[in-house]
Amino acid sequence: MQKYIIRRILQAIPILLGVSIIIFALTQAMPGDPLSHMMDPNITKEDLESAREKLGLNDPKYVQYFRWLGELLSGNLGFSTKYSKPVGDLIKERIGPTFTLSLLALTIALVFAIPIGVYSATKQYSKWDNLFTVFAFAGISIPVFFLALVLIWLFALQLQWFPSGGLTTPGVTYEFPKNIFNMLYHLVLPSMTLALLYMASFMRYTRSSMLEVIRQDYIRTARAKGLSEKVVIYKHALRNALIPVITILGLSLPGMFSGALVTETIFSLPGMGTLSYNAVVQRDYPILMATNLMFAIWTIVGNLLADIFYALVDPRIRYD
Amino acid sequence: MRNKPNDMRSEEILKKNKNKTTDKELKTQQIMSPGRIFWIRFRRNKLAITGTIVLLILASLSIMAPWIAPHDPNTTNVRYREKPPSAEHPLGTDTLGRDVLSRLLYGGRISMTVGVVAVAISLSIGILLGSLAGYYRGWVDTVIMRFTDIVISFPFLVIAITIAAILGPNFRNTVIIIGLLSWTGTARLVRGEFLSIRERDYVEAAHAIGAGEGRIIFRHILPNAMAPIIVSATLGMASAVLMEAYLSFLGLGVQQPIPSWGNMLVAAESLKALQYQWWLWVPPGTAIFITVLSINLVGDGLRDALDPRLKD
Repeated sequence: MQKYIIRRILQAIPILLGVSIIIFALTQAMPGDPLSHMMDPNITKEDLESAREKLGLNDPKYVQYFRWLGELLSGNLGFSTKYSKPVGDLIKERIGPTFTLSLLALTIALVFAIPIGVYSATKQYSKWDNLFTVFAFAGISIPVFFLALVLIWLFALQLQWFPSGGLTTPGVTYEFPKNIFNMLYHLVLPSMTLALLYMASFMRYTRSSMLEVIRQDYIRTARAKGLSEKVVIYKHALRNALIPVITILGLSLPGMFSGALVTETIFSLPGMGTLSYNAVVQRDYPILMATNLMFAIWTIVGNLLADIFYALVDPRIRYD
Repeated sequence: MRNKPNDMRSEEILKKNKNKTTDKELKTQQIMSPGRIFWIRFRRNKLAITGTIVLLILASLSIMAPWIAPHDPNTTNVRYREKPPSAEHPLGTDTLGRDVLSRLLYGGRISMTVGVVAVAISLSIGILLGSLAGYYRGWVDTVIMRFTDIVISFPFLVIAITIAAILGPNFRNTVIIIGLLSWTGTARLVRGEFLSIRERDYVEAAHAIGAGEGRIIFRHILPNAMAPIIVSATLGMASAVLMEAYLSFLGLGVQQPIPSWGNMLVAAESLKALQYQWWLWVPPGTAIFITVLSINLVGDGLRDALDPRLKD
């Protein structure tokens, strides 16, 4: 087991390097170089050339790549000219809202999706199962931004129950713990949007995984022992059915980040998604590269954790 | 269609036996073509049939847009801006006085074209890389699969808007970006199929009679892996239409004045339009939703009909 975990971690390293190479290649493909944005137009060609030389922009590409990688590893993510701040600081400010939103949405989604998935599997093709199936199809087919707009229209504009955007009420500062409640209140609609989206797929995964498990021999054995249906389903079947869902959770991370980007943009939440989006609009490339890198690293680490967790809880699979 | 015809045959015979089967009928059933078996399975799925019909209607509306659209989609009319639906403009006019219904019909052409072309690109890449990895195994497999892992690690929207910022957002680049980022699933799928099919006797037989590698890959293995590929292409088309909508909604996909369902929804970013001008955002949003839903239903029906192993 220990061997497997170590091997799995080692496997992640070339992927991380590959990610960094792609991001570096994208930086190189960008129009202009750092100097073309900063210098005044009256500068002479010779001065520009010496500045390029000094910054190492004339070095071979691979030298520049390793220099950049070295900076990254020492924690330097670059400097944003638009915000006049190190990119690392900006990301630190923005991580909070994105994680709160994602975790909130994911929790809501799982709390509903797992029981519904179990119910659908135990009552396959029943009226409710069919209804949930239709709901799941709708959920994977609706564009997040359209869902968000409908929710804003209904709950923010018509009923006026929740705010239509932002993370805090503008112009008011609350003391602890009121500020937390104010933030949660602002996060209701965005997290509902994302939760509905995640729910659709997790419901389906739980259902199919559950259907697979309840056909297994050990479930028949459990029933034959005279255990109640409740114990069979929730104790014996569900435990095993949830294992593949963990992997799916890891695999859905990139999709979840994409969803968060759109949701944050529509609800103008100050998270990583809006940071990337504004960076695109303002052509702030250092930020863009850093956010791409962060999202990719989170995805890789998320998948790594999911795999390791899978190996820990499923003794049927031998990894050697 | 390995060993599927068999169980299909017995299934059908059992069903037919209830209404007394003659020997002659049995004989005709035994030589049912794969296409016929597929159709018998597919038509049982009501949702899939509904999806197919809706999709056909939407596709023909889009194709016929130049003939059925009441107005030119790009003619602006400053004196007739943001007007609610009327007999003249069944879905009202937008902020520049353009007819929303006409833009919706033309937008369908754009959105569906993006979907089809992007899927064609991603399928070509996915099939090529997947079959190379699955057929040659060894280091070729390792290199291709690690590369797939790398591409999969980037959340689509974040990397897509980055590339759009570099290449410049327009119709062609939208298609390229979606195609280049969505082949990973197909590649993994094709690789898996190849790994199992390459071990079969008929592939060995092909080797034995001296068939070349290209022939074995494209004539012997690939056709037998087609069922799951078709399913994943259909579902891929659904997500390509969604991706185009996302990119265009964020202003980094298809650009004005070319109408696309995604960029039409940009109108709803103003709370005024959202609250008082439903005709600006409900029609394009619904169009995307219905289209993607129909494609997903068709894809699910195809999966059940072509590849029952994949069923829940």
